[in-house]
Amino acid sequence: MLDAKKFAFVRQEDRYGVVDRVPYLPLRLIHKESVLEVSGLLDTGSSVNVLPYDLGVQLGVIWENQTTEIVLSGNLALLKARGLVLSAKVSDFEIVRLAFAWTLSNEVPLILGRSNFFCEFDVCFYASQASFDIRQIGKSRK
Amino acid sequence: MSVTDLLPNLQKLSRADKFLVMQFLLVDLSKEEGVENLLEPFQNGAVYPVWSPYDSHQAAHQLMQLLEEDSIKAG
Repeated sequence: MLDAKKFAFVRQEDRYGVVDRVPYLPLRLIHKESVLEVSGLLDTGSSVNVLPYDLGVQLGVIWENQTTEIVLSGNLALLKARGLVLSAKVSDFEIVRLAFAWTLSNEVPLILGRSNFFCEFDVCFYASQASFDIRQIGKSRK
Repeated sequence: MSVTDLLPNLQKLSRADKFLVMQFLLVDLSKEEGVENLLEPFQNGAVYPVWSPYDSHQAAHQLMQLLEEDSIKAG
């Protein structure tokens, strides 16, 4: 991929000690003056980006001020969520605006899904090499 | 805590939690024994969470609207 950055899958151990390699992307979330270094799970199966509650709080966002109620499905169907737009910086790509379903739960990972992370970035997975390439989609190609 | 203390508490667990305990013990034992293939590829009755809200089309639509409003505000 032209202009792409390569990242390795992250080695992760679950609570039973089973090891897996997972495509987590390091990124910086920005809200007003607050900046947070996080890792997001690249999940092409997810319709939306999902933000765990504590990360929003650490960025200084107030739950009551977010008025767009979002209904999620799957394992997250019982969780309350509200829409939240944040700035995000990946590697040395340009800053983008990402819309998240900000949930009241901390049991979920930060998920980067089709709306709208995969509208902003192309990603190519190489599972056999436990790595992925990522490239920002230019405005002309959206 | 002895097994005698533990068993009545284990019996009080839900079905799902009993599977979780069983999975934990299987992994723990296999580590001690150095047996790797107990873990592959799946264990019967184990819990594998899938977090993807994969068909949340309405949520996706709402978030895209929110983004549009955000870009209008930003000018």
